[in-house]
Amino acid sequence: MANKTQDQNDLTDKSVGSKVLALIPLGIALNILLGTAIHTLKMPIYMDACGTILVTLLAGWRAGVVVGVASFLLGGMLTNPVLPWFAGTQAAIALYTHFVASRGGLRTYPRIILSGIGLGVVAGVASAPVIVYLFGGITGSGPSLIVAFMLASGKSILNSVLLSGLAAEPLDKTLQLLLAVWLLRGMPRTLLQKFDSRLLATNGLTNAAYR
Amino acid sequence: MGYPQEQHATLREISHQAITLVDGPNFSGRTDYMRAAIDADNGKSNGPSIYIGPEVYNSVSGLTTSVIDELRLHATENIAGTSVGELAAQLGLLDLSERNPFSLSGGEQAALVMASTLALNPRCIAIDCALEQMDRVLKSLLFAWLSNPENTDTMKLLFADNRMIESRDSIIGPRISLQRKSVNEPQRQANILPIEPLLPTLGDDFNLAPWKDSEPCEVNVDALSFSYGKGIPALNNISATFKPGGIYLLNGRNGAGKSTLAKVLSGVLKPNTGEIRSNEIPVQPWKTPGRLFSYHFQNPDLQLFSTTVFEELQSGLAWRPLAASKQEERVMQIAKMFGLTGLMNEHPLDLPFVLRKRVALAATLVMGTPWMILDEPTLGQDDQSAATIAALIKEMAAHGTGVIIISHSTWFADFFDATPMSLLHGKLTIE
Amino acid sequence: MPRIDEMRYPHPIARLVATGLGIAGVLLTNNLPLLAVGVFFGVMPIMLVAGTIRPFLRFVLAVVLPIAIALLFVWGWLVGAPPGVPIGSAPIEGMAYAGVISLRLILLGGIGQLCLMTVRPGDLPATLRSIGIKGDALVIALASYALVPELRLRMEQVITARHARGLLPNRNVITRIKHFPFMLRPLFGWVLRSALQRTETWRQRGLRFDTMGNVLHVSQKHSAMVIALSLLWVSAVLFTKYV
Repeated sequence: MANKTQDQNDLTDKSVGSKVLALIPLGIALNILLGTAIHTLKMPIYMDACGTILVTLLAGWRAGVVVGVASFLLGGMLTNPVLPWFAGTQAAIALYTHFVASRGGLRTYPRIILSGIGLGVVAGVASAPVIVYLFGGITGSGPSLIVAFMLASGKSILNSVLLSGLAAEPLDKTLQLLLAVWLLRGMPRTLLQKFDSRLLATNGLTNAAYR
Repeated sequence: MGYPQEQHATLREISHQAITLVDGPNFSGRTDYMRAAIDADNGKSNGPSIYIGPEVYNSVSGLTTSVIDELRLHATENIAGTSVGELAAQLGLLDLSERNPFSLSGGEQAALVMASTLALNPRCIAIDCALEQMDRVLKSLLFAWLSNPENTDTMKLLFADNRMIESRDSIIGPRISLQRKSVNEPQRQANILPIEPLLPTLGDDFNLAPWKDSEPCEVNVDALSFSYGKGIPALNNISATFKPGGIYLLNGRNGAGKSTLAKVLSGVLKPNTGEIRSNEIPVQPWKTPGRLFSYHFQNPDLQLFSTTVFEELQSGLAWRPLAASKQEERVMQIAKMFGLTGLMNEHPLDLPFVLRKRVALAATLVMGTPWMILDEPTLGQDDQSAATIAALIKEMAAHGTGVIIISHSTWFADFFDATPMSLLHGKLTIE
Repeated sequence: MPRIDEMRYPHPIARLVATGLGIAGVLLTNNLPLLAVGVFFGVMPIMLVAGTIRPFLRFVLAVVLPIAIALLFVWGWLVGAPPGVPIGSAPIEGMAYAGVISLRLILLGGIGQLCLMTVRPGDLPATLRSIGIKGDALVIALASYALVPELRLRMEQVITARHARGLLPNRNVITRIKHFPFMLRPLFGWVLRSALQRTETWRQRGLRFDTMGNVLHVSQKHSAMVIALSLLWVSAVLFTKYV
């Protein structure tokens, strides 16, 4: 019995690939840190999904979902206790990123912008139920103004939240996706190639010119 | 990833000896040699075989939040008859046991990595230039532990160090000497880097102080104090005069406040009180950081952010109103001094540690500030490169650039007729 | 001999069950007085005893208060009615709705904080193991927890490096925003390199977790107490809802 427990706790190459295993915690920490840094710098974007996007591109959607969900759980513990309720949005972001990236949606800048708009729609729809039920439509961020305006004009709360999300999220998520690709393009190719990611290769990120 | 066939015989030889010194300059294939020895040993014997390289912070597990937990994570049932606590005490880590491993200084991290590795009771360890940041006290404790046959009778140890000369009395064992390029790096054969040696001189046409604000100046520091939050002051009422062209050697144990002083002088941190004057004119470095003192870090990886070596060097001139051709000229002059001209289009993070350190050092020099603070400038550099860097620093000082060096290597310090300074409990003493 | 505070430690499973019941109760009710009782006579006294009142108050003031003010403004004045009711027809109910949402946020955040923040870092490995988290999941949980402060330090070092290179001419917000992506590059490079090197470190060392962290001293009395409190809370919710 004791031996079995020991084996289960061994760090081996089994189950999750060991590179991915080391990458996931770093992605989680990156996600949390970026969210906090943006908050401190009072920048107009959320930047809460950059780590999720990067890990998804490096190691696929499963790792991306783990990073997204876990970083919001841990972020709840370290920074803002309401974050865990948005963990579902992060899972949606990882799944969608994997989907578009596997179809070459990050190959060129116009494609990234299109993919980013799509990502915004996905994020907006995925977080709407939480914003409606838990927050009464108001999260205190920029889009809350749009929600208030639409509520005052007689729209239902769900419609107001959905529409405001669809107005604000695409810009934010496009910027995050652009930043993620820019970061990957700036990384040494030999380093990226070691992750052996099909998604990076599909989008020409393992051999693109530095820029 | 094959290892050259002709080396296999020597690999078998070392595996039967207790402590083997692997001697050789940069690019002699030292690292590949040691890695191959570890790979050859791994899986063949009881207990793990472990390689520890110069980027020692990456050998910390990253899984624990205290030094003692890091040791517990590694501890096997029998660490040569001692407990985790005893091992920590013997290697000088007891006072640090509740500290978070990441918050330790480079030298302390190296000591922790060594202690945790020893706690695993490994069959074979390869220490590849991992101890350069350790201060003398920590180093002597480690060597005392390793020299005790009771501790290491079942352990094979491969030891390489760029300052082997400083360890000669402490570690004695058979020696394997490698010459430059005597071992091809197996994984790099397709892409052998065009590395040139460092030049020991600035060159006649090189202008060390091309701008008005880079001309030599005397710096006076008056009653400077700094503390993090409400804690005990890291710098306590420091006063000093730094003469133009002076070389100062900043000593102090890990955590004494050396890097805090560097950050305050270079303008990264704003002092709580006190005054800094350049040629008797009060200056405020925190308003325009990096103009009076430039600051070269111990760890180059956090200092490099460009996608090519050229951009990296050029970035230090970005804010100067200087024509592109003039910028390029200066960048290429300095690249030549550091043997980097063939690497200008490489990604800095793609280079081996020894070159990343050189790139970061060159990028600091490009800035042409009247004063430079160099934290362990010879990390990862072999004796010849370190001597060349020393010659460069001396020549710069002769032209009026002031230099503050932080280094634990007495061998390196002996190159200079430097003014020793020491920091203890936030107080600076200039001898 | 365990220390006094160790003896107050509820069993991790009791902790989890109580948290689940607490959250379920909050989500089930929209009774304003009951939610207020939950905040002032439930979460806050426990916070005081557990010594986590400061982060809780910080959360209430920095996160919930601005939202609460906005909610009051929107539902009490701008819309003047709770959702699903014609605009301007019921301002008092609108304000009550804003109150319910704000108190719910406070309670959800507070319960989460109580569950997580009272775990001492040294007990984290044992706590996670005792709720069945092991293998890769345990590695991920522990490593993430350990890495956040480390990455924060690396970030500071990157900023320091840019300052020292003279690249930040001043410290104002626009400069910092402009340089932000360039600060991310070395940080991300460090992340990639660390991931690769830590893989090697972990593999070579064959690390195990069964020796790590303190032995967990749990208090049965406190386990029973947190379960009892959460059951009381759920009963009160169900009572006010259905009776």
